[in-house]
Amino acid sequence: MFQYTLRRILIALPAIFGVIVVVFAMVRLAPGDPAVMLAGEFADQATIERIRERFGLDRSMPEQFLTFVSNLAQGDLGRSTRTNRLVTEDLAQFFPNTLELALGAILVALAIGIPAGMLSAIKRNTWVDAAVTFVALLGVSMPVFWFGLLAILFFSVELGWFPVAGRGSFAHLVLPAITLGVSSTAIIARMTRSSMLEVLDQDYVRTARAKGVQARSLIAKHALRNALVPVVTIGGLEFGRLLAGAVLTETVFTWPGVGRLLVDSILARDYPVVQGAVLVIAISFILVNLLVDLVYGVIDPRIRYD
Amino acid sequence: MKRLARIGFVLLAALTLTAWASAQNLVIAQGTDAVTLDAHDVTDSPTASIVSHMYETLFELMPDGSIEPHLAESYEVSDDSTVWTINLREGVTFHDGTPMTAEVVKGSMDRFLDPDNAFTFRFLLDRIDEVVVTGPLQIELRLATPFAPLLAHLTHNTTAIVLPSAVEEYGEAFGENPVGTGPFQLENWDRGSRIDMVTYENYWGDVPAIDGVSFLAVPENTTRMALVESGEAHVAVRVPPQDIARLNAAPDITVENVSSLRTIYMYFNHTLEPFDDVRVRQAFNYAVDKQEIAEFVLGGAVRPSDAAIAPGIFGYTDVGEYEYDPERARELLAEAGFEDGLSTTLYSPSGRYLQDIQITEAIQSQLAEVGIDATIETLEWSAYLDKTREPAGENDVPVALLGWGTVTGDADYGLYALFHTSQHVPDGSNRAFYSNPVVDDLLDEARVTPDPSVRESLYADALQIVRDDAPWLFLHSETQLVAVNDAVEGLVIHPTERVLAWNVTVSE
Amino acid sequence: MTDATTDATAGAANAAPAGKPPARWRKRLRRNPLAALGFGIIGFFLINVAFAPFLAPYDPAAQELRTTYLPPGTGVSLGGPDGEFGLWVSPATRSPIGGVSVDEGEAYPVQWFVRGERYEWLGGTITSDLKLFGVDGPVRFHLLGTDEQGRDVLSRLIHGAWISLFIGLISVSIGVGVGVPLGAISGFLGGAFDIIVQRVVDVMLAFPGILLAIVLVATFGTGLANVMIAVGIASIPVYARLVRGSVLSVKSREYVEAARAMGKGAMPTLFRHVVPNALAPIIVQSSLQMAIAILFAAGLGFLGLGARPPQPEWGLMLARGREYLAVAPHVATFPGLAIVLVVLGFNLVGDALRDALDPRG
Repeated sequence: MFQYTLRRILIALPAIFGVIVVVFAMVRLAPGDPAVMLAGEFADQATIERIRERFGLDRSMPEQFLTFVSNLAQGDLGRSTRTNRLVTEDLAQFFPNTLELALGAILVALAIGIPAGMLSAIKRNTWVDAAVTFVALLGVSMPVFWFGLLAILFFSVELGWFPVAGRGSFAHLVLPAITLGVSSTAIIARMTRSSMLEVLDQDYVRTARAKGVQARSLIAKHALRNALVPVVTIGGLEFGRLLAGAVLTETVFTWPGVGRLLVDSILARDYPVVQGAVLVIAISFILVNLLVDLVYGVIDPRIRYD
Repeated sequence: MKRLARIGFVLLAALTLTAWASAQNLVIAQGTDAVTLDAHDVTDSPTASIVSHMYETLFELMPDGSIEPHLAESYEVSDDSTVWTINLREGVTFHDGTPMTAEVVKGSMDRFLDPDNAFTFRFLLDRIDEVVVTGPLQIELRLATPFAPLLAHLTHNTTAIVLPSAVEEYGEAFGENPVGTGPFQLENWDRGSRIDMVTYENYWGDVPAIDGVSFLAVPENTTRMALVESGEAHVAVRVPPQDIARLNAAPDITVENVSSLRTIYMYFNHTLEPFDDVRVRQAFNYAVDKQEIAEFVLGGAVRPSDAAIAPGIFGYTDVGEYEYDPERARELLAEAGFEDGLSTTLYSPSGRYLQDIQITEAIQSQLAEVGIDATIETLEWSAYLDKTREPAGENDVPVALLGWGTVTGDADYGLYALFHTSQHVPDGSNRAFYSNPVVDDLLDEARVTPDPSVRESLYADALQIVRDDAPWLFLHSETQLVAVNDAVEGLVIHPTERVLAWNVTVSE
Repeated sequence: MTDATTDATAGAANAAPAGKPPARWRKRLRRNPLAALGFGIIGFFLINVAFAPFLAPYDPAAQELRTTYLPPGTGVSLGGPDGEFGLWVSPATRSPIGGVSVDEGEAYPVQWFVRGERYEWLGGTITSDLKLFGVDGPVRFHLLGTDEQGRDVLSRLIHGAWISLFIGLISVSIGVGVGVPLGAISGFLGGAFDIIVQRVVDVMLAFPGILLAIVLVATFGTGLANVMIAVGIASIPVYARLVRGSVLSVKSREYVEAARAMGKGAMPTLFRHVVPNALAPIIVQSSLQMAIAILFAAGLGFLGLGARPPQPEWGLMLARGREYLAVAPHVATFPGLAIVLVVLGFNLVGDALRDALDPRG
């Protein structure tokens, strides 16, 4: 198990390095000059030159890359060209907010998705099943920002049940978490359904049924436990995806998360922050996937790591 | 539904009142968070609003356009206009208790002027050769040549006095640890979300009546307006024009409409055909119905331009609007050899200025009526700035929408960088590559002339020539639309696009 | 925004040629009412694309600043002034500060097949001015209201349909065109090539969901063409993984070995015998990918990175409309509904195909 973990991490390292290289190069290839951007409509050439120099943007790309990597090795991601803050500080402030939002969303998704999926499987091929399927597909077909805006308009502005935007109390979390969780709810429901169906079709369940075991206790005892194994996996993967996919939800709800930080930095050509944000998202995504694999092994002893 | 909503509002207001308003804290919702709290490094107006509560300048541009001493008590200018003696106010202290002295002010100005710091607005004061301490509360600014706009430039928020010892102490982190002399001091900064400030009890002037002020960063217009509607914020800036009527209809909200020093225009690239022909440029000006755009796209909230700078700026004169006259436009186009029309591209930002892309689309459809077939090109802001400031020869942007805020309140800042031949991009900001020797001379002379009335007439002449040369499609000067809860008194919405809560009271 | 339904492998990957599958698949699809719904939606969508100028009552770019933000059906009344049957429209204008005023003294009937603006169709081969419906008179009938420039929302939606179709098709083509050969060759050849491809795929997959598209669009610059390319590139790793998986599973089957033993070259064997076996999951994935591409493009439009005004792209219309949500909710609601509908159509079809093509069922 330990060896497996270690190997997985080693495999992940090249991917992370690749992410670094790709992000580093891409933000610099993008049209738009951060110095011009910082200087704004007002700037003259001399000011722009000075700004370029101040942030080391006048040096060659390989030179900048070497500096970046060697600083990275010391845990230094540099300073934002826009705010002059340490990127690590920015990330330490924004990332937990995204984590909070993603956790809220995945809880919503599990709480609604699993029962819905079970219902769908038990009532297989009835109108209930079709309805759940339809609603689930509707859920993944919904642009999240549209859903979020409608939710704000109705629940916050019209009814006044929740705050309109921002982060803070539990009430602030409700709408963003539901909005972000919609598509995951749908996916988890679909997964629960197909996994339940598979288990229900298996011999031991059929045998138990033939022996006259009550359907309800059967589902509770056998089917559910086995059926949940792949659900946990998909839940974990979804969680990883939510960490990155929160950009749009964060924008709609003014949630100070790492996704919004990323988009703002891209638009401002704030290279160090773009690099840092992508790195954090990619690493956490890879780590969550690794964690999911390991948990999978714990709950399903048939899987062996060697 | 409406009644239900009302009940919801009341409930919510009750909840938020206990959370925020009970401490008499003013909450202002802006579109973006502060970029930095280092006063010298500020480049955008939302940040300027925030920073202006913590830092102060030597002189203050009053909302009516006059200039008053602020941290300065008085000033004198030598006969040859090259030495400015400034007497500083006594009894001013920084938030950490340090008294403001001539040494401190010199330290602050030297920092602002240090080329290594590369502050964007350094050029405002770069005519100053040397700052000399001549007494415990007196400094001299020494210039090589006279520079008439200096006083106006000393009102700009980036020239505020910072505490040099704090800069030294915090180093790069000074931008998060502001130490100024303003009536409020930083309490908490939740980046990307909110900034909370509390009143500075030892403020030299009138200590604010409120306990503090908070700025929320809410980029979505809909959400920002909803915040002020639900009572979660007292003030929301940048009200979309189409929301004015709805917000005004709410019982406790008023949308304030204050003119801004920002002018919106489309410039013509004089290096590209057919915009080297003044008739074509004038035809565009006659073809666009500025009134209709102002009324219907901007909800009547702007003022069609009758000069290249807005009223309220020193040096402004009404030199006449280009009245909407599509017939005249067609004639001019025919004279210029385009009786069958012409096609061009309009560049426009999207989301930078009030209704920018909507304005461009309206212009596009109005131009079509006189036979000008225009396509619209939008770029994200950073690429837009980059592309429009390429040098002549490489620059292929024919017509582009831009705005210019003359935030010093002095015409020099609004005209020199935009119309002087020496300021062609990329050296300056003359993106139109406009060049007229007469205008150059007028602008040069106005810079060094100390007499305000002479300067005023020089600028009037320059504005008239610019109007007739039509290097721009003159559009309008912007208005700041700010939604304010009726419980708030004394809020200043400054023409420099800053919202100031210095003298605010909030009634129950 | 979701890339969640990318998991087309959930069963179809192992599909092997057996019996007469197409007949079986068809039968299964026919039994599925949701599939019918999905095909119906897509059909409706395609009709809109094909007959846009005939269906749309007005030019999607025609502005009228004096009739902005008209709510759906403004000035429409059931029954004419003298008690006639049918829909009648009265002229409506908006004053800048106040609201909409309708002049009920005048009314004109809404009719089928009216003459409107001239348009060219099928690349200019047909020129006509016939519209499916409209008003013969000096008023305009805005079934779904007008937007911030006074443009007809319905006409913009109809004329924007092809853009969404295009976004989907182009991105899927890029994903299939690059991802399928890459995955197939990688799985078939193995070795160093496989390892390199897989590491590249790892890097791409480390940008979850819409993130890769965001980073790519930021690099290429914004705009519709770049959005299509970015969304297409973002789907490459999914196809590469998918096809590699199914290639590995059939590589060692007898008929493949036989073909190789008969001296057929690696590539012909691969593309004649191996890739066709991966067809089922590719089809399923592509249907789902259409849905994802349309959603991603809309999301990029929302963030200000997508299509540019004044294109009637639905995501952009929605993003613009959100500014007016409080005064004119219809401007954002209808494009949102259109996106949901089309994406739902592709998701329903994709889902039904996945069930139908599942060899275990």
